[in-house]
Amino acid sequence: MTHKTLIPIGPYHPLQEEAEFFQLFVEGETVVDMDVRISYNHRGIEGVSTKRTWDQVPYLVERVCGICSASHPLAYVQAVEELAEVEVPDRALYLRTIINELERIHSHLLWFGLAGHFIGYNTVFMWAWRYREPCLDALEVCTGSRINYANHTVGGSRKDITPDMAKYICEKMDEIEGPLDMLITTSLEDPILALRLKGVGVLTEEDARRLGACGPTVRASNVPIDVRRDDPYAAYDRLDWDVISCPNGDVFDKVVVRLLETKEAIKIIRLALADLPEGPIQAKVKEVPPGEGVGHVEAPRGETFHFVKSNGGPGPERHKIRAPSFNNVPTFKASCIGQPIADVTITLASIDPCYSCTERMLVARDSKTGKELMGFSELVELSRDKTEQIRKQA
Amino acid sequence: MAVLDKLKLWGLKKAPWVYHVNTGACNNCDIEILELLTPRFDVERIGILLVPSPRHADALLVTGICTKQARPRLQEIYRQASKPCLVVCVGACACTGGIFHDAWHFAGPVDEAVREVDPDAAIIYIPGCPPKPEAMIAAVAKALQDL
Amino acid sequence: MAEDLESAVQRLKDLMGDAPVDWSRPRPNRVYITVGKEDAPECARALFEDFGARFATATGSDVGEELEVVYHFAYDAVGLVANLRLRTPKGDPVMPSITPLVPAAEWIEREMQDLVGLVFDGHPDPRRLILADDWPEGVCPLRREYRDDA
Repeated sequence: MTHKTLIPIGPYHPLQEEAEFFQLFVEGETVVDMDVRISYNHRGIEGVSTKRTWDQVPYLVERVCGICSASHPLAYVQAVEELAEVEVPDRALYLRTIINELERIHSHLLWFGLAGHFIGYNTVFMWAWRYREPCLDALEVCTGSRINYANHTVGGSRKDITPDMAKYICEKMDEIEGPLDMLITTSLEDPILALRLKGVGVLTEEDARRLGACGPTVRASNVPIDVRRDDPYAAYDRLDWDVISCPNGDVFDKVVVRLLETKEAIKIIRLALADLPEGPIQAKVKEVPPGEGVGHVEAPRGETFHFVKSNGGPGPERHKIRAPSFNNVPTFKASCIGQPIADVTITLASIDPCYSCTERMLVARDSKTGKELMGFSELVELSRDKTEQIRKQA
Repeated sequence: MAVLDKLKLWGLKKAPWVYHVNTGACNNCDIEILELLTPRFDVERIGILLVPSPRHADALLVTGICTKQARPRLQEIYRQASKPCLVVCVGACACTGGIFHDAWHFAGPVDEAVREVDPDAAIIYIPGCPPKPEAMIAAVAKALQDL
Repeated sequence: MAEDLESAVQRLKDLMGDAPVDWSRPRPNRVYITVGKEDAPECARALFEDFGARFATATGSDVGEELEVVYHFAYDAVGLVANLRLRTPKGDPVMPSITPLVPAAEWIEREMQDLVGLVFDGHPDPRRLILADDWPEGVCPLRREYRDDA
């Protein structure tokens, strides 16, 4: 069976002359500088938001990034609830927690699969994505959709979780837990993985703080910030759960943080379902007065920050949306410079930028001549070859 | 139709090799496309393979609204793709711009961008936000039947 | 003893000194501090280094006769979000950049230049960030004129 060089994962960088998205400047085998251009995916959502009504915006912002499809609407509705002083019913707070933790599970497993692919562990990719499916099924059953849940509304939740749905969710969590535990144990114990990922792509604690990064990217660098605990929202302050953090800041630690957070998410969902209070799921919101509101949530990738201004009109006058990757991607400069090019794809992946941002155009250039040396698919190959070499030596 | 064209069409129908182009999407369609390759749906068993270059592609799976920055790149990719090439607009954004049709960076929809290069381009539309993997498979199967 | 919200807010007030021309606290954990634009870099630095807050992001807006920037800082230890507001007349869209003192602001200041037409004086890398290569210079999609024409 020939080695399939045509194995999937996104569009490989197609062309030569256009402005690249990620450019790496290399000297020999080492990355010496990096530049990023991010206009490909820019749509202008903040402008669209001002042309919509208050209750239309959640459907818009859940499409900012498909993987963080519950986080953006939650941050937005919280910002509006803050400025309009809306009190959200308790049951809705718990529903929000459950949906957002389900999102965290599917997002982290997605990431884990991609990371495996970049270093040549394709079985990991297939396993991780296979075990996302029960999670997506759970989301589909309780919201009507695998992705784009449209469940967070200003003042509450759109759809309730019935006892049957709750039972189904628990069954799905049981289904995922065993394989997840296996993934965790094998990852922590695999000597090749340790050799391949420890000490790679280190983001120091100082750089993590200096660059305003967030999420697992910094929790792996000994910066244990987490909006769920620091500025609690939904039902997080009523449930007993832990913030996961690691000290070394390398790719290995980022893997550990995300896997353990996935396990923690299953725990939070079970606690929330067990504790689910009775009552309404939607507060009456008559109008949104003039004012300003901040809504921030801990998305799988880090803090999602929304700032909303109202002039008393039918929709936002100004709506600022900041996804976590916006603050995390620049850390790539700190964690990648000085690294060998073989480690570039996994270092970038470890920041977990929105998928469609990474796959496009990661290019390495000679730092003296500017000549393109290799494109994304070659960089992925280089990464996989390094794993192979480590395996042979071990 | 010349023999070579018939052969190419047979190849396309038998085992369509697809190249994925994201022209400014939220990732949902892209992730669902990747879902097709995972064990649950496993489209490789029916011959669909993702390829790393448009030159090898029988079909372009296009997602996204076609932003101003992406439009010329999409057109270039279409030019590079070997013909015959089916353009598959996956998702509401690629079909019409979807919820972003009035965004300031919108330069689509995708079919207009492609038709500017080739007025006779073969384009199919899979609406949905995102379309479910089953819908995508059904659409591609239907399109291949009709070709 | 760990700092609580009230003592943190008081410490912030002391650090800001005379700079604020307006100080509002619509909720216990939200503070909005308005300062003159010349004071922005020093206040931002104080928030980041002395107070110990994390730079979250910034919002640039067209508020009519003026352009406004709100820098959002999160002090995670107590869940406080401190918002630093500054304004400049539209005819003089130049603001001092805080990036040399708060490196995390680098990208968002570039984005505000693109979308709102602000000019961050002293920014180490003021290139276009987010709009397409062929997007016309000087057309700022978050300006009211753009919205009204669109």
